[in-house]
Amino acid sequence: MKKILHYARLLSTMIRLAISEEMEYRSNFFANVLSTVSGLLVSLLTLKVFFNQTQAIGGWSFEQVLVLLGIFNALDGIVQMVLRPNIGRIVQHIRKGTLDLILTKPVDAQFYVSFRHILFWPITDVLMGLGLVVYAVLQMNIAITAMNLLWFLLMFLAALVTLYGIWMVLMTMSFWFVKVENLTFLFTSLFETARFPVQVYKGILRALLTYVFPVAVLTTFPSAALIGKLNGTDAVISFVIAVLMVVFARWFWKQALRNYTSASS
Amino acid sequence: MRKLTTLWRVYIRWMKIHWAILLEYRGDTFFYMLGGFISPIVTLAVWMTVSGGGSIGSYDQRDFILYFLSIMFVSRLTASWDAWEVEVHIREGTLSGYLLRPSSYLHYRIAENLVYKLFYGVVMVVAWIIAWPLTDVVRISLEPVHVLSILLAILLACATRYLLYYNLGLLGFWTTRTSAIVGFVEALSMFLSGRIAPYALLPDWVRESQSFTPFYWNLGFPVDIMTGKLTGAAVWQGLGVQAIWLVLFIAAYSVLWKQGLRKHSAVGG
Repeated sequence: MKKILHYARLLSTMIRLAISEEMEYRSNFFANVLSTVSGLLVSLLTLKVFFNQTQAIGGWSFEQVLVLLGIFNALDGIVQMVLRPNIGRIVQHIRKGTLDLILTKPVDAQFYVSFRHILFWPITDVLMGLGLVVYAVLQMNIAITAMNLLWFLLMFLAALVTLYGIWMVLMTMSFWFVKVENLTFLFTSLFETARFPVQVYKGILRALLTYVFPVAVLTTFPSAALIGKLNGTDAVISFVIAVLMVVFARWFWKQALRNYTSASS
Repeated sequence: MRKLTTLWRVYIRWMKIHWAILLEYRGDTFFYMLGGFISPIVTLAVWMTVSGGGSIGSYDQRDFILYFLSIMFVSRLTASWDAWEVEVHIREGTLSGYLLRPSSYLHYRIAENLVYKLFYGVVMVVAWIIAWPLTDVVRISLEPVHVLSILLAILLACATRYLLYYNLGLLGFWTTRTSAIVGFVEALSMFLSGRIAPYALLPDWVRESQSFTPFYWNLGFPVDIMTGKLTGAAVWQGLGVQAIWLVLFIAAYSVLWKQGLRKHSAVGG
């Protein structure tokens, strides 16, 4: 318990550092809002093109896909805030041998490399994404029960944990691949599949996107929970995958450290 | 003539170097190629679900598959990552090292681009040939004129799109916000190049804008020739439009480069 408190304090310090660092670059805020708005506009136009031809995609109506898109945007914002700024740095640490320094710090190395550098401005993506969710729910004119909201929060938490697990595995792979830009490119491309409900994909592709690269857990299940489409199996799948993902990421990180021979000396 | 042979030798040298780098980072190159295929596959999956076995407009299931396979093929062959590279070289001052060399920085960059395209091209053509006897979706017309027009269109698209991004990278001489600008252009091109849907299925205002932006000509047009949706005079007219865009971008390049160098004062490096 004491340990958890300690790490929570560390995390809040890191976030405070991030905020004070970024208040120096205030114009980045506007750049961020601009790119978020243009990104959202393009996604909306894209959805319109599809829904010009049909009433529902994979059993999801336009408003329901909007909820999903909002969640996608929020997650994307979190990727930009927490995950993306750190992955580039870990490669530098490995290449230059400065990882040694981190390993000797009296703090868990995985925690440190995951959260040390946080960007603050992409919070606009998170807020606008959640705003889109609220808008779409209002458009649908359905009553959201407390139960739905609770399940949504649980599923969203599972999504966050899963996302972190996937990203940590990618980061750890940089022990073997030096040009990590391509790994993040691969992630971004795979993450694109989360823009649509997993029901859009057929056969083996759907299985892959549910269990192997679980984008279903990331966006489909949380939005299904909010609009009351979630069934028990999906919920169980979410929890199991989230837990497996962090456990695997932890194991993989330890393996990588075991094979790590410093570059500096 | 002498100049041309020198240039040829320069390119061969650079390409050998870039080839060695590509082989060294083959895992990354492969990942990069794979990543580029995912977004067309997603869009294809959505269209397959939307059309639900029937057809939309003039596109049935097979048309959609061929369309997005062609998108993968053409977009890989016309890809350009120079906006980021050029911008970094300018911002970090490493450009200076290249300016001292006897051959232009542009040739160095183009050589890199060509090596990767050759690699992607060979891999994709082999994959296409393997698929040929397996499914008739991929059997495009092999008439010499058709093949020639495909090659020409891809070549023009490749050069134009390359220069578009190169020029965006050169904006780094003036601003540090290049990546935001590139992001905006990418978002536009996502919609206007035909990546989301064949032009025939896009809203009217997009179709009306097609002549006024380079995006359709950089991707959608070669794809439309490949899939056989464009034939006859329209093909040759389109090649003409592509050529005009290319000339415009070459002109823009020479202005930006000249003015930019004048402005450039090396940072660090």
